[in-house]
Amino acid sequence: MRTPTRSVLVLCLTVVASLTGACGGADTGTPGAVSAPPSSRGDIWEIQSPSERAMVSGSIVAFVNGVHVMVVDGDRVFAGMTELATKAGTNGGQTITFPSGLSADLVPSAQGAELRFSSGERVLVHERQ
Amino acid sequence: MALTCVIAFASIPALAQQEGFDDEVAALTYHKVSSDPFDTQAVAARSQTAMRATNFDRPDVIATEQKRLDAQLASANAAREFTITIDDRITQYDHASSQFSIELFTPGYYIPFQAFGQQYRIVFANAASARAIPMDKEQAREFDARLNSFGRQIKNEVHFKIIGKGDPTGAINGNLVVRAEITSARALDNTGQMLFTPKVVAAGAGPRFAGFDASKADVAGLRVGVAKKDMEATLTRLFGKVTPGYMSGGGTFKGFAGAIEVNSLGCRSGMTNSRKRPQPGVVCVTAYFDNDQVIRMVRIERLFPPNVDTAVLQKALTQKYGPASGGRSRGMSWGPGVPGAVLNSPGTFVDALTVSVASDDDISSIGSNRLENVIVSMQLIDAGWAAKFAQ
Repeated sequence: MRTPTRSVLVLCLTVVASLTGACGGADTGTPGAVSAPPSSRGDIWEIQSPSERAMVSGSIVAFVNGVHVMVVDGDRVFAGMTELATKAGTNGGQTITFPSGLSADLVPSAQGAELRFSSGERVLVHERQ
Repeated sequence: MALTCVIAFASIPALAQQEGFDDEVAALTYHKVSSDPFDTQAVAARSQTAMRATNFDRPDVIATEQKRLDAQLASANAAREFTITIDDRITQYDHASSQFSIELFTPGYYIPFQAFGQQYRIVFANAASARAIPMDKEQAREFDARLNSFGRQIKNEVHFKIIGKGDPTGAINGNLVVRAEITSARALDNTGQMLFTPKVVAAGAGPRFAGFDASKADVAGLRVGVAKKDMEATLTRLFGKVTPGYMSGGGTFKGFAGAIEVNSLGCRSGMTNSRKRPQPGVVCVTAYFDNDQVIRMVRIERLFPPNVDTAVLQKALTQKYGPASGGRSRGMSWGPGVPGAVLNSPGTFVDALTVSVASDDDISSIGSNRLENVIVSMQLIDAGWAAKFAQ
């Protein structure tokens, strides 16, 4: 089993900090609201290009719902031109809710962070450098 | 690569003598809530009471029975909560997602019941929220042993309300599909001991997929009906340099003044001067705008590795957009139809949203045993705007 390195741990903490932000657990955003993402604020997170089948399924669900590449600005998450509702989730992460009712937990993982969809699929995500 | 559905449809029979479930009341509630017509005269005519009546008395008996059914239908309470307990099963532990699943709450499963000589099928709109039994591995090992001790068979006690018609996941098709919303559920072992209580999330107000609305839809988060400058800024932020797009056929695309694009043909092998084949993860976007500088059509493509499970794609699309209005060998589509003139194809109609799946093959693929990467392409047209170009 791979041991998380210091840099990965720092990244995990960054994920938690940037995703929980100052929201204090309150809901933010309106699911499906049309809103262009900030032009420079926030960070861009994107799914990794997986080869294992389970993760490929997660990348498909992420693409369909626009979180294959997303802007995370504090506790606000933008999928393309669509702002998603978010709230503090379990395991120190963030729960994103899509207009369809689907949700995804964005939680720190040894590889950076992971999107775990309520439909069962999951995929690793990382911050674009 | 054909888009295929590999969902196994399965029914889970309800236990006999359900105290909280009356099949006729459930059927009438369904017809009232969904507005699915209920032919009380036909049902009255084939009722046991009518069958037993003499030929002389039968018309009067049918009329009386019909009156009774009409009154029952009118008094059906849409807010009524039903309870049903079914024989169910908990799946093997999924190590990838760290969870067990409750079988009934999986797409493709339904509860059948008979009423008025017809079969109805209950599907749950918010089944996804009740499906998972998340657990870490150590806890799961103990839970798994307990499940094995009674063959994984459980009693699933479901409390629900009837909220409409049709399966929002698209897995169950046909008539008399009763859409219900779980209000609570309990998984019990064979001795009645509690195993698990799912955290149920409400299905939302009303039928979510009353009709596909292109003006409110998005493809991978991208919209139509937005300003070109906002689209351009978004694409730049997410994907990098945006360039003027090329419209084959020039001005024959009715209504479009131009296009902007990112990585245009970079998702397909053999389409650029580069000998390097595009790699999974690459994204290509083209957005078309009108004379008012408003985006009226957007297409986004992404390259995936060869082992794409098209059933997962279909499920994700159906969950987001509702049941597809059109199915094609290489994709799915959602209406309304828009005039093909906007796509330089006069005399035809295309659906407002189309999703296609294709292999990224080129001339080097001929005779090769290589598994090709897969391009998933989603295209959305502003249907309201395009309607004015009807031939």
